[in-house]
Amino acid sequence: MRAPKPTDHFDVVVVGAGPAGSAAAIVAARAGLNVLLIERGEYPGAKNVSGAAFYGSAMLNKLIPGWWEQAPVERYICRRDVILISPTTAVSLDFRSASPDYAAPPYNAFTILRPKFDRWFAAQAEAAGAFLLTSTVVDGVIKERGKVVGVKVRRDDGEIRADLVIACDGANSFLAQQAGLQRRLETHELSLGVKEVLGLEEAAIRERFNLSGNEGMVLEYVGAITDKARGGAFLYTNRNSLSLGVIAQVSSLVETGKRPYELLELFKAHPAVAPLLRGAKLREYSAHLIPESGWEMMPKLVASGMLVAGDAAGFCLATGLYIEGINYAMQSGMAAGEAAIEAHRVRDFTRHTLERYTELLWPYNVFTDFRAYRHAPHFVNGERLQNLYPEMAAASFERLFRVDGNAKQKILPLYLKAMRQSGAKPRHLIADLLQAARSYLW
Amino acid sequence: MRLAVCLSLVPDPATIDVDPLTGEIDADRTLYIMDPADAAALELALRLRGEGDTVIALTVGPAAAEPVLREALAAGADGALRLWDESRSATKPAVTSLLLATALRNEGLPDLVFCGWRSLARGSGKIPALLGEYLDWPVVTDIARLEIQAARVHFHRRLARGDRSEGEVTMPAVLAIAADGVRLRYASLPQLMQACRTAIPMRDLPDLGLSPLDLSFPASTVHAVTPPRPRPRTIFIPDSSLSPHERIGQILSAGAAPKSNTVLEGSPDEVADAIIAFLQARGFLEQPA
Amino acid sequence: MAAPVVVVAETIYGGLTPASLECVEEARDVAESLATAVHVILPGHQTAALADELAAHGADRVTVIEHQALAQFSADGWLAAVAPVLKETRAVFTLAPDSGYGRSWLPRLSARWRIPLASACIRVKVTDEGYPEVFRVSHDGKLHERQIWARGTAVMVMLWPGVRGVGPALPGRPASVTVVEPELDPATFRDRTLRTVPPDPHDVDLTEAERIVSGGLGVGGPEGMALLQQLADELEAALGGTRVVADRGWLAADRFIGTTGKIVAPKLYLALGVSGAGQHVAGITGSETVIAVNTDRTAPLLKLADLGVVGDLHAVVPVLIRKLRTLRQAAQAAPAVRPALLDPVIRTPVAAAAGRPRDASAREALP
Ligand SMILES: Cc1cc2nc3c(=O)[nH]c(=O)nc-3n(C[C@H](O)[C@H](O)[C@H](O)COP(=O)(O)OP(=O)(O)OC[C@H]3O[C@@H](n4cnc5c(N)ncnc54)[C@H](O)[C@@H]3O)c2cc1C
Ligand SMILES: Cc1cc2nc3c(=O)[nH]c(=O)nc-3n(C[C@H](O)[C@H](O)[C@H](O)COP(=O)(O)OP(=O)(O)OC[C@H]3O[C@@H](n4cnc5c(N)ncnc54)[C@H](O)[C@@H]3O)c2cc1C
Ligand SMILES: Nc1ncnc2c1ncn2[C@@H]1O[C@H](COP(=O)(O)O)[C@@H](O)[C@H]1O
Repeated sequence: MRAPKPTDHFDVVVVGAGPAGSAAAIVAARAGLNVLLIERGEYPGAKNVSGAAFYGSAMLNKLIPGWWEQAPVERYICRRDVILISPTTAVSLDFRSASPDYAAPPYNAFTILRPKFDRWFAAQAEAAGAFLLTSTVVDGVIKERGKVVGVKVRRDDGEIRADLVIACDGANSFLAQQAGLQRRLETHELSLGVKEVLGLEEAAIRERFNLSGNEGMVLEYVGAITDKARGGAFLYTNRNSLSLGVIAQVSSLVETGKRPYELLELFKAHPAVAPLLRGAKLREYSAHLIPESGWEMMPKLVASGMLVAGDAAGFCLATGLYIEGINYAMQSGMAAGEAAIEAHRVRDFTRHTLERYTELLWPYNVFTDFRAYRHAPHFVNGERLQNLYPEMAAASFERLFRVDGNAKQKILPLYLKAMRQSGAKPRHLIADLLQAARSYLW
Repeated sequence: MRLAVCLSLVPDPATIDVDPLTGEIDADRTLYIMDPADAAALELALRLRGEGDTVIALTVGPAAAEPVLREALAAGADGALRLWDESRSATKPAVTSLLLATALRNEGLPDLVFCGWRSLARGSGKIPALLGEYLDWPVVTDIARLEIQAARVHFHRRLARGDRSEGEVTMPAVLAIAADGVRLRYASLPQLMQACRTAIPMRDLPDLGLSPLDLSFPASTVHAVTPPRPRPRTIFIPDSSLSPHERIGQILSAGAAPKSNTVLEGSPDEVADAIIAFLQARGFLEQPA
Repeated sequence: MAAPVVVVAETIYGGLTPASLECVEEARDVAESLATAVHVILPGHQTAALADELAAHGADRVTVIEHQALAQFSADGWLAAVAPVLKETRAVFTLAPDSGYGRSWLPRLSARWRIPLASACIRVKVTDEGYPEVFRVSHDGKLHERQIWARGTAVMVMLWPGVRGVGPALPGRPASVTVVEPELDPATFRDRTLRTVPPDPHDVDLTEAERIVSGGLGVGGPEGMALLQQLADELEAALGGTRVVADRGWLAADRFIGTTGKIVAPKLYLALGVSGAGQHVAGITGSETVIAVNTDRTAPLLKLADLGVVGDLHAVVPVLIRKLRTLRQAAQAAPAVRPALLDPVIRTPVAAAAGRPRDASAREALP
């Protein structure tokens, strides 16, 4: 920890020590900038929804070479399942890779526990020279003549001045709204994630998920879990615990009157899930918002004296197949850090210079990916994909595999029958296939 | 008046995750905090501090324990001192108290020493009395409230099951605080930044004029640390509504026998009577004469 | 006779504390395994009559230390009065309740005599090989530690109250009783207790409450909680509730019970409109007697309760309050049955109580 300069004027104040904030602080502090990183939790990660899959290993490797050797990681991911479920059946697509892209450094992805990981990542920012202030809530930005000149924290005499404020305060960013960059999000633009971490012995995890050593797996569920509310569920293996949760669109929670916790209970009780959880003990429980509409709801990212990164900028990709937010948070944080360095070099923190940030987001692949997947959120939350197709798939497989002495049927007639029974229309199916292709294939 | 407060940095029990097999604490997940009882003690000391008074915070611990002193400085303590014997990884209560007592003597004895009633770590609850012994001062434990009246402290003390006693003690004294509702004040931003910048002085054995021999105490060995297993409770007076045979069964099973479960239904009047009769049978209400 | 297992007992309102009886019974078990006697030391004023009760729970010998200055607790007084008697017993084990009182004097003797003292113990025993062994709680109950000493080491133990529980008394069990009357000068006591007051159910910590009236969502709103408060007052109980009730602001946030709130162990737990969700029930399993009132006959708590009542709390509670009131008024008319709650106040002249200089080097030697 380096003591801040007595002036209490900083080159950069970063709000929020999540993946975005710490990445921005690392980049800026390494260039010698005087950086203050403010976190409301008792420590970075204390307030974050624990347990996640981190898909940015190669990218982080560029910032911190060999990061997985020092960071608290749980398991590297070599198995992924996508599962369509109806109340009584589950149809899954199982992917497993032993290729070096997945199973050798720098690996493809890891499961991590956020309280541990975020704490470690923020410590890297401290090591780079940033000053970390915890248990301190930022209440808003200080504006003078239309320019952001600092932040106000919820403590007596809590004004901090800075050339640049980087808002990395997570989904539904109060700071971005306050600076006039972002409107309040609508309920259909936000999802609510409720998550639990359940303790389970390592041996049981290996056996149940067919893993050895440090191999890990993620399972994503689509279908009846969310009981008419739009969303999905996931289950990740950690070293000696499981992270699982349900994500549901806030507007559909309102419409259906479902309480998020009920959905989680439903999911845990599902016959395809319950056996995986046997004997597991609840360790923690939390809930958090996720910005889900990607490209379409991107706020303005730059104001004079301020940048927005990570979830605060909506950089969370929820394609229905998985949620990727941590990697984009880091990438955008790094881009913001670089923009800060450039602005500092020319000593100009007006909007015009800071616009450089949006240019940097392209080489960091943030914009590229969000544009590519821009149709996915809408598609995934469509009614038919959410409820109808999983049921259809389940029903047809259920019929296909059932041996009850009746004459066997071929697959296509089975599907057509399942489709008729569930009320799906062929023209919808074709339209949806097209949309799926547009969302994911090209 | 000079006040000293003994602080310890402890794992927040809410974040302690014990491996059910080894009994080990998962250190990565654990959040270390100022012991809540110590925080209450510090807050009471700060509230007592008048014009010209000082509050000094002390802790026995490695450099990793410094945050507890910074937090005290941020909250308004006038000084902080860390004590440690670099040759150890942990200290026993007797060693902790001896280091504290020696340092207090060396730095000039205060009028009152505040402690928490029991720390949330290994929690011996012995340190206040040991400190009193080494300083040869009186000790009052489990103080819920206090007031200074001339050269003595008037106190309310917490007893078991909610009983309280009131009393007084002469100064100087060691006071162990158990004030549940008292929270440490929230530091202002400048104080917090200032506290983060301050270098915290440290005293080791040579500084304190102690030799390792002074710190040798009778050995006891912690042989196993396990997650808690409840001890079966001895039951108090078997249920008098049971037959003698059932009562003996209840005594023999040490309370492990399933409870008798009665579920009843009726008019409000009837069920109110039933509840009252039940309370009387169990001795919660006096029996009618 | 082999060295005894010694207990130093405490009193409150003129009676023995349950924690003291737990110590005596624990000592009884240890003494049996060592084939030795249980010797109880009972400091106080006019407490000799309690010797029978100590015997009934396992004491073989009782030394009553009688002095007017011991009517109320003083750590200095206890040190002056108990230390000489305790030293003479040459105890293998010394047990005392882990109470605020015990913690203010026993550790001092352990330091003076260099005898190990284990606190927060939940079990004491001698292993088959003859080693003294204790189990203690640490980290706010999150961990248990087993501690062990060399064979023959004299050990002091402070026993955590309420874990062992008090077993049935065996009236008529004999014990030899000695009364000693030491010379004490209360003017030299630097600390003293002036009076002891009973709990105020309104602010007693729920973890310490003997009786709890608890409300769930079934109370319907703040008025419902107010009704329960009346019932609690009538029963001299503390008011608690479920988390959802606290979340709605009908109950103070530090007064909800369950895994994420307070873990309670009252003698009486009266739950009204509480369904009995796992997270709530996990916080009340230490309760001795549970009564539940619920409109839903399938509510899980009704099955767990000693007495379950299917009914509407809004109908039952007012009737219950009325009936309890009538009972209380009838009892007040009759002669008082309860012991007087306030102990007499010692009125030592204030000037005489000034600090007494003591020579730190004049510590007692090893026993
Ligand atoms: C249930 C769930 C599961 C998810 N699973 C995955 C997954 O498997 N993989 C993945 O890549 N992503 C996942 N995500 C998304 C991912 O969590 C986010 O995209 C990512 O955390 C964004 O990082 P961030 O740094 O922008 O914000 P955050 O991680 O939210 O960090 C913001 C930080 O700012 C602090 N803060 C907020 N306001 C203030 C304030 N006013 N003052 C001071 N500090 C403040 C917060 O305490 C927090 O530490 C998941 C999200 C949820 C909810
Ligand atoms: C991670 C987590 C931790 C939690 N921790 C806790 C915790 O520590 N403590 C806790 O209490 N909860 C906790 N909860 C919440 C818990 O799961 C339950 O939701 C809660 O205990 C239910 O409270 P309740 O019984 O008051 O409400 P409900 O479950 O809604 O029950 C109300 C009951 O009142 C009855 N009723 C209704 N009207 C009347 C009437 N007129 N007369 C009589 N009966 C009536 C109903 O039949 C019903 O049984 C936690 C939840 C989660 C997810
Ligand atoms: N390492 C320490 N440094 C300073 N004071 C301590 C330390 N450990 C305990 N104390 C004090 O002693 C009290 C009782 O602690 P314990 O005996 O560990 O239960 C605590 O509340 C503190 O006030």
